[in-house]
Amino acid sequence: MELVCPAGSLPALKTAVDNGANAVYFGFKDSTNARQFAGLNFNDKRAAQGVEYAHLRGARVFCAINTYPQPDGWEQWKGAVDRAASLGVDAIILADMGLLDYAANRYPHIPRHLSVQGSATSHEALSFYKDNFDIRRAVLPRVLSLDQVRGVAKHSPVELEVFAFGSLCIMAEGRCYLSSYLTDESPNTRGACSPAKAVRWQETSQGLESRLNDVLIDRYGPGESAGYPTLCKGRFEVEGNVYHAIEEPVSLNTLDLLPELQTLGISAVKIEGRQRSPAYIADVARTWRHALDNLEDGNGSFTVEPQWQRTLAGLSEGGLTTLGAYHRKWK
Amino acid sequence: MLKLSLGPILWFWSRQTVFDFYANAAEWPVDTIYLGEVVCSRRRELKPDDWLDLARDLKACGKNVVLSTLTLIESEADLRRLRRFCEQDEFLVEANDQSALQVAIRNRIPFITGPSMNIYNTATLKILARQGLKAWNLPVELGRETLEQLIKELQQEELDLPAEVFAWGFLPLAGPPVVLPPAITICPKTTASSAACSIRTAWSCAPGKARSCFASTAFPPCPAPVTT
Repeated sequence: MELVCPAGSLPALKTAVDNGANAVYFGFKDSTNARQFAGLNFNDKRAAQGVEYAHLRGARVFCAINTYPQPDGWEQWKGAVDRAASLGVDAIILADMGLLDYAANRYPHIPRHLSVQGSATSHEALSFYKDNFDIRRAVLPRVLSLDQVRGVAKHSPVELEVFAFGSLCIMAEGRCYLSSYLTDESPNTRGACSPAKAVRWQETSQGLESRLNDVLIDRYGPGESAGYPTLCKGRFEVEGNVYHAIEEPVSLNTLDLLPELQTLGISAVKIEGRQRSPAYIADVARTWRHALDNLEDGNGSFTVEPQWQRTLAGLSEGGLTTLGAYHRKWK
Repeated sequence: MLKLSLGPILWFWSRQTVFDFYANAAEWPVDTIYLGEVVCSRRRELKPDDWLDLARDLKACGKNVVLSTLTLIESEADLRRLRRFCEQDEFLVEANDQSALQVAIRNRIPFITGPSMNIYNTATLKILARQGLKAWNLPVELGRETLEQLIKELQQEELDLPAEVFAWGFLPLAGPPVVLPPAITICPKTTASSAACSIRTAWSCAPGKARSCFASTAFPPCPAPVTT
């Protein structure tokens, strides 16, 4: 299985490659990709440097152009596909059907990966993308449990890439419009969930309050560590109780599932985190590289080293969960 | 002339409540009625055959009927239920995800797309039109300007693809796969007609300053479904 690591900056890209990533993924400094934050991402010059660095060391580079262009952005998003092609990337990660069609016709030789933002949750959905846009690979939404991944993998017409570690999106990625409800941006439209410009922090006598525009998302008491205010992970009052009514902020860690993922024929494990520091990327990439090498060399026997779990736990927000853990109660 | 559609029920209602509701809806001045479970695969008060029977009854009352598919498909069982709608040619199908698209296209069933099909530009519309798209819903996060541009571009391309817009009721903003704890408040009673496009507003943002900040389509599998 390939190790696919995030690259939010050139230093992070280099670190990922140096620490054993088989592939890295990046986006441009605009809304064409779903991790649009100030200070992140690549201009053409840095992207070219990153591609060269990775290729010299035998690593591949994927370009994420995985948001959805509206009519007034169509030329810009198409332009991003052109830029990626001229950089010589090894694959373009796309979600929008119009863009997939453009890329498939204009650059048939550049592999197209379906982004998690494409929200394809079944082998039928994957067949739609395969038949219409000849995608090579798809990233599965994190909402699927391991059983469900197994079901998709059994009949999948394309390679599968599964998120292995990092922050979690609890809604079906690519079809969540919560951010648009409170702010004027969303992952699909501008590559930003709960954009920073809408975030407000305020110390009050009751605690530190986080808001999106004027809507209170959470309030932290002394000693509580404050998280970034996304709508889905706030604490809300339900019948007098204030708690994480939708979902607690947890991080994904599928280290224990590696042998099973391999058995299912999963092609790649994906690390989330383009917004993370190079130091974080180094620790995560190194740990997962060790794990994957052990899996490869183990000839059927694989044990999770406690040190790996300690490293990963230290890097995670909130608790750690594995694929579909939050499904178990109800399934 | 602008037409009126009654969207699929987003709430978890008992079987009898659903039947009573549609018995009333048959008399309402709506042109089209959407039927089907679109939110949660665990809601099984009505089976696909029940929806099909209901569809025939409403058609006999003079309504256009569209069968709506589940928005989040997660399993083979979900796909089996999906195929019941997408492999019949008695009624138009509203495809709410790409699994439904694929099955409908493969069976050459004409389809429309629901608001959770990500249609953000004309290029996407053209691709789907080639495959059997008859009408489409604007994603709920898109605004007037984009709608205007899309309609204008469709006219320029001479594509007859009517647009439908979610016009009244709580917006289906997200579909988490998790179910919410049963503690979530049951929505206050509304009249049956106004409940049609509604989703329960569950949360307020601060004690003493009750303001519902958003609503979700997610729903607990209540042991006893809500009856109005």
